[in-house]
Amino acid sequence: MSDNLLPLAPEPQHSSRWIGYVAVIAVEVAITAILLLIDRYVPLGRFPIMYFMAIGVIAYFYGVGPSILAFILGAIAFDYSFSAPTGTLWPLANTPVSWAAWIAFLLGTSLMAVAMSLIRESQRRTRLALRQAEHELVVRRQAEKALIELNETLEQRVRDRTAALEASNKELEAFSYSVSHDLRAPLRIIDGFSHALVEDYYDKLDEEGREDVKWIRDSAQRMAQLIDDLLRLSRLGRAEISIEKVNLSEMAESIADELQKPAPERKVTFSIQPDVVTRADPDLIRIALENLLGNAWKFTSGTPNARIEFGETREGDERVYFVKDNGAGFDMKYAGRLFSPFQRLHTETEFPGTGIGLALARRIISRHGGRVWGEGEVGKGASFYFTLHPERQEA
Amino acid sequence: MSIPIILLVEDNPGDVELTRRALKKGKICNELVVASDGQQALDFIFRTGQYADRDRNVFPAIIFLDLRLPRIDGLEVLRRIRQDERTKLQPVIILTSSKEEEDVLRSYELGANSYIRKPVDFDKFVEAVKLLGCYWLLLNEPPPSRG
Repeated sequence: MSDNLLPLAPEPQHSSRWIGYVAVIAVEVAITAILLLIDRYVPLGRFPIMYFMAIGVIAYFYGVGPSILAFILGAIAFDYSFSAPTGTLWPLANTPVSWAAWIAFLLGTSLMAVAMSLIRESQRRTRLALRQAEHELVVRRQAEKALIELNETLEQRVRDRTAALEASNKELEAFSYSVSHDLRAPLRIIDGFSHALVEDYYDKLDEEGREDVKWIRDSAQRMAQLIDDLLRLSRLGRAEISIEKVNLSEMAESIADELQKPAPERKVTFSIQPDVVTRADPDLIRIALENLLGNAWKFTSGTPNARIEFGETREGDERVYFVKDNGAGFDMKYAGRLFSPFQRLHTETEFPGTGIGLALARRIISRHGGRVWGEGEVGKGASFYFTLHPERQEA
Repeated sequence: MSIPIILLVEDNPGDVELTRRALKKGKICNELVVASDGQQALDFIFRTGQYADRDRNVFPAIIFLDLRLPRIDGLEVLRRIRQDERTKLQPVIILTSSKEEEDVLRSYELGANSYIRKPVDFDKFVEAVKLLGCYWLLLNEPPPSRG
């Protein structure tokens, strides 16, 4: 049994072996005595069949060692008591009968011992195999039971987690609703009444007063924008994803056109690798691409000969998409903060924005099972890379 | 003679004031009746409770309905309006806070006639109120049974 799952049943202990040897001596003495007794009346002793049987029985019950002892003792007893010349240990009288008796004795005992040993061994093996099988069965049943229990607890845990997730999703939904509705209400009123103030008291406010009101209104707008961004981010995390074939190159071209349209005076060279095709949710991936290209557009606003690149490379057997620009760039030591919501590496006056774009992009890309990372150098530009693995998308 | 008024169901006094101004700026001069919760709105619409003996000739040409209301919320108010034979054709404009909220509401298919987003930018609100208000006021001839 080479693929033992468990240790074999233990070998008989030493005490039981000694019992074997003691039993051999007792059996041999008893047989010799009985044969001597019988031999007075009937000369059966010369046919040592009793010894054969004794050795067979010993071999069967006690194994090789005791059966060898039984053979030796039997031979001595046979020699001394029955093999001519009897009464001496000298084994052979020069008679054919004596020779025949010895040959019969040797052959018989050997055969008996071998046969019985074989039987014993095969039985031992069967027993062991049986025991092993039984043991395996028990182990297997235990494993099965454990597996079933584990499955049950797992199922329960999945149910619990799902329920908890659903509850927290609902809570989030309620929270979002509350944020969108309640947090915006006061802002609306701040804006509305600031507006009313300028309108109703236009004559009484001087230039500075109107400027102040404009500050109030701008800030209200900005806060409203922040709230909207926050909501968008929280919704994205839960939106359903539907994966289909998407031509990223065409998408990038159309986004580039949209960026260029309201600012025809800007001279930016777009270099978009054709036929970059992938599988993704087209609406979501467009938002991500809009944010990456939009960033590139924004941060090249002060760069002469601005250049924005989109394409695909390979890293090992993984396809990596990139958006590169030669704009303001960023310091790599802040790279870790790039993708956190509302983290900005530039001031609002340098480059406007709420700091949500890259957070949205990362949320979308991770919903597609991909990664996004950025490399940059201040004044030299920034490169953003991402991978998409919709087949291992997050639930 | 029937008198078309505008019923505004809104609990936030600031929003009430802003809506009043938006209507004024949009040159919509119908009388504005304000209900500050869903129950009050239903009482007015169905002439029950505190409005049991209001003038029969007064009817809401448009209802501007906010969603978050004390006691009975906006969706329930809309549902009851649509369930009732007398009011199932009543123009109702829902005041929403965001585009997403609007999308969610549309999916309920409760039969709102229009939606107005309450943007933080007051000018946009005025524009929306003006456009939609005029549209529904012009469209909504009083039902003959109320004459």
